Amino acid sequence: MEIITEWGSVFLILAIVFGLYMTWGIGANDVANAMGTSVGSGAITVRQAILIAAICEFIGAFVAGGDVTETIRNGIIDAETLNGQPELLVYGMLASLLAAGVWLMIASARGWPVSTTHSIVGAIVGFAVAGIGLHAVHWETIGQIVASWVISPLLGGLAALLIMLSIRHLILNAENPFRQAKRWGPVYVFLVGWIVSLVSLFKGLKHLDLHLTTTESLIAATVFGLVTGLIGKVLINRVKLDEKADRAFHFASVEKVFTPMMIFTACAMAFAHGSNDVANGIGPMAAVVSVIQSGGAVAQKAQLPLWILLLGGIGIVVGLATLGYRVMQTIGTKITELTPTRGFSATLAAAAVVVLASKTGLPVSTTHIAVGAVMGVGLSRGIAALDLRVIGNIVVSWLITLPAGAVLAAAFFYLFKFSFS
Amino acid sequence: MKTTNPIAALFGRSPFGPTQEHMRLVQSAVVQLPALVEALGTADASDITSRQDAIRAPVPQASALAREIRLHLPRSLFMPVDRRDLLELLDRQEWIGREVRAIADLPLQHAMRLPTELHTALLNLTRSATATCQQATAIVDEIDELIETGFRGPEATRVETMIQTLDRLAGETDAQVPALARDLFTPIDDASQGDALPHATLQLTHQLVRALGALANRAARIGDHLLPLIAR
Repeated sequence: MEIITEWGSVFLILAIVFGLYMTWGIGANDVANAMGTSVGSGAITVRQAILIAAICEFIGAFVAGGDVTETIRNGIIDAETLNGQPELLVYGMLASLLAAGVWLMIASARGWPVSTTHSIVGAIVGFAVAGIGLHAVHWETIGQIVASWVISPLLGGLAALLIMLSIRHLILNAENPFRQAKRWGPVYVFLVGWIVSLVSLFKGLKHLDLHLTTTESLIAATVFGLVTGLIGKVLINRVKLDEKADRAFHFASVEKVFTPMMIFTACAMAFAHGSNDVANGIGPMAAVVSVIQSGGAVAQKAQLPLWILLLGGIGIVVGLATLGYRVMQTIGTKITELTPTRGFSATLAAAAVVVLASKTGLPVSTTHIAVGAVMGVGLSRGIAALDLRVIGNIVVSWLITLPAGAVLAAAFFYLFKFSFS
Repeated sequence: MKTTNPIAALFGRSPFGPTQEHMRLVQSAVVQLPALVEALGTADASDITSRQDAIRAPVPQASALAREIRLHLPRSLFMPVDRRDLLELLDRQEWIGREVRAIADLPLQHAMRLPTELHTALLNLTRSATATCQQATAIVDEIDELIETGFRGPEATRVETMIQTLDRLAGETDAQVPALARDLFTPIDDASQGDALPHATLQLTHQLVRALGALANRAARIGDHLLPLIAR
């Protein structure tokens, strides 16, 4: 207890600095992965992607980032085992942030496709096992999280496959694809707004004190969906048939209809990413803050202070503005195989799955889900060539990231413990 | 800082665009065959040489492209068409290139002059073979549309119809071959006539006729190969 009162403000400053560092890293590196399918399809420019990401990541973090933050902060470690020694949690969470941040820097410098989520979860488990003991970890929660890492990309792939097949059925394989695209386009845009808002709003938002019944959430989501659909319709109506381009590629005009529609999936994806990944930075930060503010009590049920969510959102936006810009430009060159219809299917599916995971409080990897969604489109015989080596790399980075995060966090944990006690 | 974006890395280099480009290159040689046959008809040596060169020019370019495609086709690529099927398609396209080259090389064997009375028929056969190859090229050009629609629906039906047309064109070309050969050999049987064709002319013309028939058949084999890929 004395340690907390003596060093409280130091811990608080360290937590904010490390937390901001982590969210800055997410904004600098990870956002580019989330926006990859949108920018790669050429539907939006890098500049537009930055703008969309800055706004929607922030809204996503603020509106729907609470549940995953709760999991990272309280769900993984059994606070009961810490009673009497709250400083251990403080050391551990600080160590986890530092470990994940350092590991992400090493990995991205070497070009490995690592996940921020995997790093932070590995780090928290690592310090808990090394510093407190095996019993300190909620293994059933870890089991759920690890299962979600496998299931979510598969789910993303399946959803993308279904969306792609529906676009084929309703539009591409219809008698007059262009007319059908204009007819169904607004419906798909409605779907983007409807799914994302329904999942986010379902039964309300605890940390924002917004309580909704199932019916109320359904109504709110439908209204939101209709508004987006209407805006979509206005944008889609401006697309004109391009007969010259159609001669070279018969579906050129149809693809042009999907280009403005990608703006909505890009927003949805940025929102989804903000709702899931901001927690990786602010979850540990929130845990430290709550220990210090309560004067040493490891409160399981403490309210998540909104300023922390705000701080996380700001961290991401700053990361985006300082370095994310450049990272995004590296994928800014159009991926010709990622046409707007394919990009739309993959991004909508990925965004929906990520938001769903966020609502259930599961920290998932946005990048892996996006990769899974693109694979799903490919499974419909819809993409010329997918390089499966990426999947192998992801599996390898999985196997390396978890232990690396764990070992680093354990080392930092002992460093802090030694320094402060 | 090195950044490998997994989304960008996921998209391998598509071999389909280059494969279509390969077929277009081959076809750019094929379309010049009628001009060569016309030149052979007038037996203008310099005209023949320039036509030969024009036909031969795109062939090494096409071969280089085919080699590039094969080199950049790692087994880790996941494609809507089996890797072996794609390589087989490329193979069949290359056979058209070889066939065209062989035709362009015929006048190298001996100064060539076509029998005057067969000019029109030979030119018709050449145009017919060229049209067959043109149809095969148009079908290969539809591959990106097929991928867009998942090899199904009206687009697949359209390509099926195109393949039927290809078969018809190849059949029409093929039907001209025996008739032309007969017209070529008839004067020999009629030995009493002193104006039988010189042996070399007879040989080379016969080779030309057969090669043009073979060219059309090679083109039809592209359709044969693509048809089961749509039906899959």
